[in-house]
Amino acid sequence: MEIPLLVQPLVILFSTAVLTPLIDIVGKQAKAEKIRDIFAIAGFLAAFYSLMNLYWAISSTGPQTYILGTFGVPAGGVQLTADLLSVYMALIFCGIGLLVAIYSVRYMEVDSGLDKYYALLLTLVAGMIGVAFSGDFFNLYVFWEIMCISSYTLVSFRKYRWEPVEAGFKYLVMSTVGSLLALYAISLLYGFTGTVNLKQLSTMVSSGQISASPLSLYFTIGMIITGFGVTASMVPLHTWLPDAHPAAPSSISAMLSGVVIKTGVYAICRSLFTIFSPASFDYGTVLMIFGILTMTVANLMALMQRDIKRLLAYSSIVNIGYILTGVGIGAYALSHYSSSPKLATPIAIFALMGAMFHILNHAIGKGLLFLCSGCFVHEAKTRDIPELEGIGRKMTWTGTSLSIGLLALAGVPPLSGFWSKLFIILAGFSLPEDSFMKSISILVVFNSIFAASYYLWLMQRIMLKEPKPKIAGAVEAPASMLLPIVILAALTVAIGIWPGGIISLAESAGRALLGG
Amino acid sequence: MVEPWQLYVAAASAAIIIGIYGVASKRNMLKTIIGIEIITSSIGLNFLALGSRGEIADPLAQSMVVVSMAIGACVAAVALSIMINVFRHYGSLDLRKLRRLRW
Amino acid sequence: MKNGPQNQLAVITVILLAVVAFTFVSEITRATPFTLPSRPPLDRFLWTYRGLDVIVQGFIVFAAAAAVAALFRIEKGPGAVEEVAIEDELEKEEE
Repeated sequence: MEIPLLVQPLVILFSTAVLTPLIDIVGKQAKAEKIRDIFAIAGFLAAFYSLMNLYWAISSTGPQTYILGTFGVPAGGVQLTADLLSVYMALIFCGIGLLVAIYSVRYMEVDSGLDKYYALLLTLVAGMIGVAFSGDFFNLYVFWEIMCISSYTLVSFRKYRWEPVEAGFKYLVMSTVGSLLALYAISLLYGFTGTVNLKQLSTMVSSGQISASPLSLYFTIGMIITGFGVTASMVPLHTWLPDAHPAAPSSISAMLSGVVIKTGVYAICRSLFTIFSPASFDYGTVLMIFGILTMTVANLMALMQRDIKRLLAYSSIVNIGYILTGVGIGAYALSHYSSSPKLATPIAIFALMGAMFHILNHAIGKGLLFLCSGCFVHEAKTRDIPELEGIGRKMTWTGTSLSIGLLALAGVPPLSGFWSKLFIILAGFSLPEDSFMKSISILVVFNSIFAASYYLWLMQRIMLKEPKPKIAGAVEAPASMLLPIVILAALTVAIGIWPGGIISLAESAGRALLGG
Repeated sequence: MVEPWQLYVAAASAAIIIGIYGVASKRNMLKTIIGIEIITSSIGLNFLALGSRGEIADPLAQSMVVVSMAIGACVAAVALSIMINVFRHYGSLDLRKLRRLRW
Repeated sequence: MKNGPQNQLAVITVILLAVVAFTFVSEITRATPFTLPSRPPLDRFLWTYRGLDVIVQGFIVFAAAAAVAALFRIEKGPGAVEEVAIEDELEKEEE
């Protein structure tokens, strides 16, 4: 039976997820418990390989679609669509998932119930790849919910302590209400047009066949931004994140901060840019204002933290602010300068390229930082920064990788974060007579410098101070925990020195968002 | 002049607001979860009201309601499991007691 | 009702949301109906045209079952030890 290339990653990940508890029973009988970890990692590797095949297929022949059987779209069928943006996001999701699974082999040894942990991790990544590939708005909601249910449980996985369950409950309530607001938007769009397919919605909204007033359409846009913005941790909907990300096990914190919140940004981008053409609806202003608000509030809060993972969680919110501002600059350029598309479209592609590139940089960098801090916490048994001072000198590989990650996110050349922040700032300055965009870019520059201050402060405390006697006996992390950290640090340096390939990939992803 | 399906749409949005009020202001965690279920059901009513316009409802709307109700049941199951774990740690279902994580 | 100011805040918020909803609902209901293609009744429609939704919903039920099993598992050892840095807990330690 030939499985089409588009569906292969989903089939591989879902079947591995269902088989993992069975492999665990087999492993317990044979007294070799690590078999289920190897099986899960093999599932991630197979899915990553098939995603690379899909990428080569799409870049040579164009976007691929898939319909179950012969039940086509006009009568209400579900369609999966993969263009370059979808496969770019899916590669990031699967790559970070693979590295987190390798890290979890040693990090989660002390916990029980690990077959369910790996099954939920596989369904989490499968749900995210499904969100990236779906061409039907209700199908996107169904894949979104499988991602959300897996992430609620993985946050509360260590249920024998009070902190994960409290954080998990708050996260569940806020994120579910957000998803339901997005579902309300889907029902309104269905009410106006009679279909939920993204392409059909875009043709019907732009051609004016429906008689819904612009007020109702802007209400729907507001519901979409609010609903998906809860998971994307936009301020003021971000309050679940500083509780949930420290309380989760560090491997899951890396997944959450690295890729799950980016799925929210992807869902906002895909639904808004496809259904509501940016030339006729102005949502760029709103996205830019909320992006600046997100950056500023989270920067101020990050300075007050003494828990290392909570500081990294606030810095994730700041980086989502950068990405939303980049997307907003693109949408604003297209809507306010729609009369001269030769001027507006290159600026929009440039801004979207910066935002997509920053998604990759932040996924790698924040994943690296959370995995390193997981190594520190695993050794020192505490998350308090005053007690962790100087631990980087005892654990040299981990400390060096942490420094590389902090410098990359601070935007220091020649590491990778410098390029993406530079592109977002330059896109804002590219229209000199528009003072609103210039002021937004100046605020991005200020926030970037402000964020660099606490990254360097953290690096100084972890690496350069004298270790306290309590952590004097800290030894380096085991090799299977160091392998993903070293791979991520090497990727950061490599992308920073040779950014050309990733820049063209991000640009084609941005172009696919506008052209689709 | 006001057709029945318009009344259903209005009732659905009123019920969504009641559900959001329940999630935001109730002290008992179980009532919060019930609020989430109220929102799910009301959105289903909205789907069906907009899909029918007077006659029998569109099968597309019906299928979306069926799938979203199943998803709502799964979310409620996970929420109740987390709630029971919170009860084992804190001894009560009072949402005001979950205040240790603030800044 | 029990707690005064918070309840008043909630009632004011609900009234504001009701005003917003009234404005938008009166706009929404003014949209004219659409013409639909003829679709089979629900039982055949769900499994043929919406087959992908139903398959993924099956995996959601699997994930929810794994989640409930994970949240109610029986722990054998102490598990991972991580001290949390929370302001009022530290103040209680110092007292």
